[in-house]
Amino acid sequence: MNQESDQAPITDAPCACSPSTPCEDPKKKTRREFMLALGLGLNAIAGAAVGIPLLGYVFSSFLKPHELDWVILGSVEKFPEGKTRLGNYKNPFHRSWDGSTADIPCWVRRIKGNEFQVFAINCAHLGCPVRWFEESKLFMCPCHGGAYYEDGERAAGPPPRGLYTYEFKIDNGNLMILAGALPTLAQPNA
Amino acid sequence: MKKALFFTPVLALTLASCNPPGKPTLADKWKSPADVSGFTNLYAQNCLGCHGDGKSIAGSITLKNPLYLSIVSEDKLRSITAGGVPGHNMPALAIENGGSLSNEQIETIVKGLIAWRDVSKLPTAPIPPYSAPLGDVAAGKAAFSQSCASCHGNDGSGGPKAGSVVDKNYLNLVSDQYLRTVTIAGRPELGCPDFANRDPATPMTPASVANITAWLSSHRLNEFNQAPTSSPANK
Amino acid sequence: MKVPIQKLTDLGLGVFNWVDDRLHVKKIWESTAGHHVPQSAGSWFYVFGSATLLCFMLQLVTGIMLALVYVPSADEAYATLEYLTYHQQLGWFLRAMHYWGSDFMVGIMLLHMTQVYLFGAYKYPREITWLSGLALLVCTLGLAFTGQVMRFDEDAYWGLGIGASIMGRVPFIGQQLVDFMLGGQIIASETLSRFFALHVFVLPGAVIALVSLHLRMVLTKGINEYPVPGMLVRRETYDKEYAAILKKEGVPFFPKAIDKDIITSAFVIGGIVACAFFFGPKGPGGPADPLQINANPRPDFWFLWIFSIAALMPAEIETFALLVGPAVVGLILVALPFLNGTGEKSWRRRPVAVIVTLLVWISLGILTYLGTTSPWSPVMNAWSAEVTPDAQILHRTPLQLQGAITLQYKQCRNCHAIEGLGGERGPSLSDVGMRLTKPQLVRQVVQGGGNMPAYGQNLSPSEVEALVAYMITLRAEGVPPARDVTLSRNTKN
Repeated sequence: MNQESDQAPITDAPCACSPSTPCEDPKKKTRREFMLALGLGLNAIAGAAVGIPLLGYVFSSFLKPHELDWVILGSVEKFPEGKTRLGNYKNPFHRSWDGSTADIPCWVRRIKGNEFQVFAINCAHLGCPVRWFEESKLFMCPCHGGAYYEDGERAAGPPPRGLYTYEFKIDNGNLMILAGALPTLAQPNA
Repeated sequence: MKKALFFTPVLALTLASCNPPGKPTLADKWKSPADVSGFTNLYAQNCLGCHGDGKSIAGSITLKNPLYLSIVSEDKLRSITAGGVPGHNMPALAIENGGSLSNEQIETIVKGLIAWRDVSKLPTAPIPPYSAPLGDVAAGKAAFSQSCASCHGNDGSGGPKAGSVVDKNYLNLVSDQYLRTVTIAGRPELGCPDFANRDPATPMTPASVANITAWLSSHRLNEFNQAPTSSPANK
Repeated sequence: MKVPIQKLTDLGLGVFNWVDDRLHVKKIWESTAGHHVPQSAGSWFYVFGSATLLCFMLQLVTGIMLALVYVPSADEAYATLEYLTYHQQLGWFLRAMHYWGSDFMVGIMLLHMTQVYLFGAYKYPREITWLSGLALLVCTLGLAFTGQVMRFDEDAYWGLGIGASIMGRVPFIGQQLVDFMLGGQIIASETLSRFFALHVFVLPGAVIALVSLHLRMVLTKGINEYPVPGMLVRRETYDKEYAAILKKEGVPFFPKAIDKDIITSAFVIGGIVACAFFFGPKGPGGPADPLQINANPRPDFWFLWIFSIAALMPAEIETFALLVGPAVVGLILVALPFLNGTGEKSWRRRPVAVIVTLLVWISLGILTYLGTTSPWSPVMNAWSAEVTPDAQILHRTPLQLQGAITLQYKQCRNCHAIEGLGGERGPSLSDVGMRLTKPQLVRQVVQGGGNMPAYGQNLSPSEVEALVAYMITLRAEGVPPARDVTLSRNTKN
């Protein structure tokens, strides 16, 4: 390609008529320009026809509404009063090829009766799995040492807030939570 | 040339048979904490910190105490390991009680403790049973001054060789059963002899063990320094 | 039988000439491998670029090998990893080569970048060489991170969670970015597929394109001459000066200046093979099973420093630093050849450059070291597993012994060590009785503070008494307990 442009400056040059370069036929020139513009225009349309669906496919997360769904954690009786226990549920939007990643754990604190707090397993700092310690009534994070009190409030370490909580309801004696997304700081109310 | 012909297969064989240090074996495979087995492992992870293992000593009674293991029943060991001692500093280890151990792992620990039983090291005197009702407080005071006062002081508030056993905070943290267990089994690793060896000539009787426990327990006070209406061991 | 040597040679030559006539092999070879470089560039300092490229090519080969077995599905990836590691003939070795190859590649690339910076090679007229190099750095780190995800073990799973948590801190579009990164609202099969596509298609393709540009720049603008202190780069004169250097002492890269690159490449391959042979592949650790909450996620070696920064940064500035920090660093690196594109090249006369380089490497080194030890992480089983030395148990009163039990039971040792056993998040308690008085200990335990949770809610008065009574006894032999100097002064007055 380089060679071509090096050797043939005359034919490819835009028609700047100078004494040394003979001008093309003006008629021929406009046709050539029209064809070029037409070609570019057609390709722009073709490009859009390919590119817009492609971008829409890749960036679908920017168009889709964020959705959650109710899932059952189990019978209320599974969770003793005054204790915090590990619960788990199947991601409501899981795929059949999700394998073990479809099962999500959470910490269920039954304060008394139907009073619950359901915490996400993810540390509010950078999402690592927090562990509950019944004896000291603390959640501890193995990554950067975040710690939370029994009620999810931040106790120590780098987390900028308390543990994320799930919205819950009791339905037919079952504890249900609104789940389906990885909690991050982008969700102000979690 | 002939040498090379001879050495090439030898070299190839050595290379093939040698075990590269970096080659992972099935033993390196990741194991789920639920799959950890073996009494030594489980004991080291879950019990060692508070109970020691006879070699290392710790705050609480060593579980390798032959006397303790001879009086405690297997069921009692199982229920304490799985369910803890509510209200006192023994955690529940079973998953269904909020701990991290499966029933098989609890069983491994219980069986391992039972295997530590060693009848050859037991005293010959009649051994008081693991549990019994509290005895007589007044008789307990007398028995205490006979068997325990030389270390813990006449009134139990500390003596030349050991600290107070009637301190209200101490008594708040231990159950009556713990008091009884230590009265029987002692803390030999800390220098406190068992019931038979406090005075080797006259071993303590089951009755005096119950009485001493009652007397110790009678010192319990609540946070307002009043005698509580019911023993904290029953809460 | 007589071999017609002459005829065979003629035939070979004929075939070669035919191919050359069609493909211009000789011409291409001369203008690439044969391009002239300053003789001074045939230095041991100039081997890192080619060594990085070599690592990349090795990664391509071993990566393709692994792809013959690997299944990029959340359901099966871990199983194929285990199969590769424990059952497939030599699968462990290929995995190890790929793992160590990536470590080598990032490391050598950083050395290359350091050398380029210290030798002023980014200055006029090699700005695009520098910029394409930066893009290669980003792609390579991207390959390393996405490669860690391919292992699809617990480190991969929670590493993705960390990435998503950082994304979630972006204002306004945080949620969309998280979903974009994960290919959904949660870490699952689409996340792995997405990272697989990045790791085996997008990023290697980008690297090949960028390497082509990078090498093209080496051909058009020449390799940097070995800098001579005092020889300044001026935009007006440099090109002529470089041409003069080439004219005076230019040698064809092949075969006159390639010797050290070849020797280095042998050592690099040897190093990777040796590491693979002796240390083997990494993991896989526990599976990417979120229910496995005992996970203790750690990033791969070259990301440990980020892990450390995330632990050590004050919470108040963290979001700002995580989002703005990389942008600022990126901007400085991009602007470097334009702001500092002329003047002195030799590091001997660029003390600031040397100091900056040293500081960066020392910081990275310290942060990486801290990342391997992670003293800020609680030791989750210390409370039930760590023993206390006899000296800290013997000769205690029953109350103090109950304090020792409380210290274990309340998980104090997950963060506090005694005689080196236990967590390092908080100060060691070995000599706490010499440092704090009883009222100070009570206050600290009950109210917490200084990055310690308050235990007031979770300790009965008797537990506090026992705990403090025990901690006061934790001091060196013969040393009295700490006392409050302000109190003693007051009593004197």
